[in-house]
Amino acid sequence: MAIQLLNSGPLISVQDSGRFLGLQDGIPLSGVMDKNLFFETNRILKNEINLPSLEIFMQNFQIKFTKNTCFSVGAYDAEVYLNKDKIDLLKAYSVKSGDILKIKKINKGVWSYLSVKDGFKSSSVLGSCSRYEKLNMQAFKNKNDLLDYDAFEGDIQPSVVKLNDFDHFRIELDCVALPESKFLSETVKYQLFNAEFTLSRNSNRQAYQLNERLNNTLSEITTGAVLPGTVQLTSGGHLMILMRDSQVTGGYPRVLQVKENSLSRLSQMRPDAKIKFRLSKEF
Amino acid sequence: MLENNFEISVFNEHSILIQFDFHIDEKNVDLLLFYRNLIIEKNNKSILQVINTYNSLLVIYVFDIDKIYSEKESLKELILSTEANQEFNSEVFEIPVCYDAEYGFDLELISEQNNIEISQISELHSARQYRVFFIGFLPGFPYLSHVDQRLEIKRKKRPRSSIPKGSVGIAGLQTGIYPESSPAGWQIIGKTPLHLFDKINKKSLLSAGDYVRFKPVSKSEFLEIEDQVFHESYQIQIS
Repeated sequence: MAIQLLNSGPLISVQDSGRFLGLQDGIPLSGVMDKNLFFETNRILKNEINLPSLEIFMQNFQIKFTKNTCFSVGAYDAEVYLNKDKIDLLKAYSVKSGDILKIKKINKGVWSYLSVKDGFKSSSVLGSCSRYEKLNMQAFKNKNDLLDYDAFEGDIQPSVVKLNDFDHFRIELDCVALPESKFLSETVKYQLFNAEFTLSRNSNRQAYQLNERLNNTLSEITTGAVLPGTVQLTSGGHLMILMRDSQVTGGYPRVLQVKENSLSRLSQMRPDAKIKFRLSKEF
Repeated sequence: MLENNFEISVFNEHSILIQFDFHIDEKNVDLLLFYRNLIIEKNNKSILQVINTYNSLLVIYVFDIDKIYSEKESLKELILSTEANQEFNSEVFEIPVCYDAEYGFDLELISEQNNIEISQISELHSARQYRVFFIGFLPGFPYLSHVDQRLEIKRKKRPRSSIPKGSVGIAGLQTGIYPESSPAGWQIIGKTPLHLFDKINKKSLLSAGDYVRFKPVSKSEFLEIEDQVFHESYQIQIS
């Protein structure tokens, strides 16, 4: 048996830190949106930090454990219940078959993680268990669907959480300049590094878009490689930050690359959050 | 020899971009693939993947931060010190395409804008052999060049929200095949019954460097091949 899904919103998926082996066939890296939080959720269970976990979008998530195990829930600020008791985030809890876990409310952030001791059992495709709808079907999304894991008896010694909180309404993203940024006009460069941008509602696992428009005069480039964290400037002057399910190539000028730590934090920002770009010389 | 011909930059914590300053040209695919294979060969333990586009290579490493800037220098050295000298004997894949108006939503538009007969579009499109430059956009989507200049046409200003799997399109001088139903900005001229991405073995039919030749088929032939593909009895012609 396994965990049984009782209730969930959309965009729930099994993830690890992503796949490299399909890039040349056009298959995205995928992987968890927030690597910092995901690694920490596994580490608390003394797991290898890349073990497949469940990535959960927002609240109203409920499952039943059908085997004994230890689990932890990673989130920045959330109301989580084990049966009737409110529990702490990023802490190992032992559960028995029949116990019910509920994420009732997410107060800060967007994505949370559920890890169990020794990870969920999920088939690996091209070196990763991450779900990407065009590659491997998601088998855990409807009521009563099951996701398997090995039973575990015992307790896990507590350890210190190594995760820094941050402002979830206003963020400065650490970035390094990419090739096409040298063609930007001085005005656009000034706007890019001094203006505050707003995160659009039009955001998903593929890309987060920003509302404001720059007076872009760059034309489209010969299709080139892109990665999660690449900031593209569209011909309409909009900025788009590519996220984990980003396509592997793109035709819009690549102006910045967001550093990994900032990208994980950005993933947790909600629509209307304020964003500034901060230029670094090196990664 | 290549000294002023490429630019090399760190792309993220574990990736390096090598951008060549040359025109999109079929011969340059050989050059890119030569350097791709060279880099993999010389660094097999530390490199995960090297992917190419029209004029660039993205080298993705297993490790993070510490070594990436020194690695950039050694990659530069490697490219500067090695002369590309190899051509690839790639395979030619024959891809059946039905150019009927039922599948070629933009045949009429291309005919009007480019001032050519509709029948000429399929003739010109299937008359030459194309090189697969790379696979991108979607799993299995091949970027092929160049189409005859008489077929050159810009992307749609507003992409269609969905086109069927197997649709064959043109964007500029490029042509490509949508491996699955998808939003699409390319101008659609026909459809193939073949699977461009094998969902069971998780493999693209085509790879960078391969050649493609389109074979026009009638609607009834299309349906027949579609049936054979479904029953896994269709043999793709590869020469």
